Amino acid sequence: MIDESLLLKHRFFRDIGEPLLGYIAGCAEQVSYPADTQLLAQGQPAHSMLAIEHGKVGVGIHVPQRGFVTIETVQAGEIVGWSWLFPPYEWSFDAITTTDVSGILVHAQCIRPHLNDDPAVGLEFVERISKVMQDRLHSARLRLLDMYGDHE
Amino acid sequence: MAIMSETLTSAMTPVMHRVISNVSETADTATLTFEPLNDGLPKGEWGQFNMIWAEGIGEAPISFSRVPVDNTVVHTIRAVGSVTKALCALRPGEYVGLRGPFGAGWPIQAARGHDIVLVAGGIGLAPLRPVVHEILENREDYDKVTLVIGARTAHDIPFLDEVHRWRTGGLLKVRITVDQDCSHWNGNVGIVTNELHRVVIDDPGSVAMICGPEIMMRFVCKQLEDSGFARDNILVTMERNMRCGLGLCGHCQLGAKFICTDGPVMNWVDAGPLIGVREL
Repeated sequence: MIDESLLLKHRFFRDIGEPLLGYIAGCAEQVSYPADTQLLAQGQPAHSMLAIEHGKVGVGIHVPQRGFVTIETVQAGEIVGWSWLFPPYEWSFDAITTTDVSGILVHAQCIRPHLNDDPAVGLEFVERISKVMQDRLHSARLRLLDMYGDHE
Repeated sequence: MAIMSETLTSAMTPVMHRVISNVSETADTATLTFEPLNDGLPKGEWGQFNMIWAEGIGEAPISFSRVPVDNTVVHTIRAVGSVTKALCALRPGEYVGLRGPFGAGWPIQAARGHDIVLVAGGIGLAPLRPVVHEILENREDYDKVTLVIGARTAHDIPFLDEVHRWRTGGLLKVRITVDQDCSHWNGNVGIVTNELHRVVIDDPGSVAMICGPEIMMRFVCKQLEDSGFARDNILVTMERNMRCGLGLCGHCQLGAKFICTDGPVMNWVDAGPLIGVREL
């Protein structure tokens, strides 16, 4: 459990109302990890969401012959991990800290029942996650355009 | 009439220059320094361009990547077409013809006293490099300065050593992101607009200068507008098929504007309504 005021300082939780704020605070803890820590592993159970306060996390995947390839760098004020919201509750990608990282970890098994039991609370949370997904999808689509490529 | 004809002839006649250096920046980009064989061209300013003529092949408009301080001229060129490929292949001692300088450049001095955000995509860093030089030379004249650089990969960032010096020099904040991870890259991966989200803007008079692929500029400008930038404080440098450089031939016409004379640097009030129009 952490103080609600701490949650409200993070961009993802800003302006969040009760009772969701209280539920999240009751399911969260402050964490820190040294650089090069594997936070998520593809195919493993998705158990939590990290709201980064300081530092950077690389979301990516291990590619044969290339090693870990970063797809997106996630930074302070952003979140890592939403696979815990959707069956089969497994991580789709790996995530590794690229610097020392501190943040707020929200435990899925604790928060999920609140989201399921109260549709209004669930919707509020999913709307916030959807905005993050929209931004990441937007980023991925623009990169698919290969904007900087030679298109002569 | 005779005077106009003489002026026109002069502006259309390349002034021969000798290549004195060719420094490779990336796999397809090189910085060339030229010196005139006789009298040089008038000195260009930030954001202006010269037409560079590769003998027997053609001309290409290329922005200054360093504002001339003596009679030498510095251009950074990406080899994407027949003319630019020929220019990038030039060796010291070989010759080109230059016409210019042409166009409206960055109104950098109007930004004095304000925060500045520079956004460069790929080779778009070249026309912004003289702006960085001006800011660093007169650092006390400007408030917070942030340079955001986006590139396809880390191997596609020009002026890498210089960028590293800017980054470690502490006089401006440099944020770099690449679209694709590659070996030995420890920096950020993601679209350039992601980095803009992380730039704190608190000066209502902040000025943004953007150079990069047109699609990048559209999204960057929209984001800057959403974060409170005034449209006339958002400046972009446009690229069209410049030929004469004098606003006469019409090849670079964009709506009612000629990019070679009304641009290449334009504010978003003028460029915004035109940039997204198909077939313009």
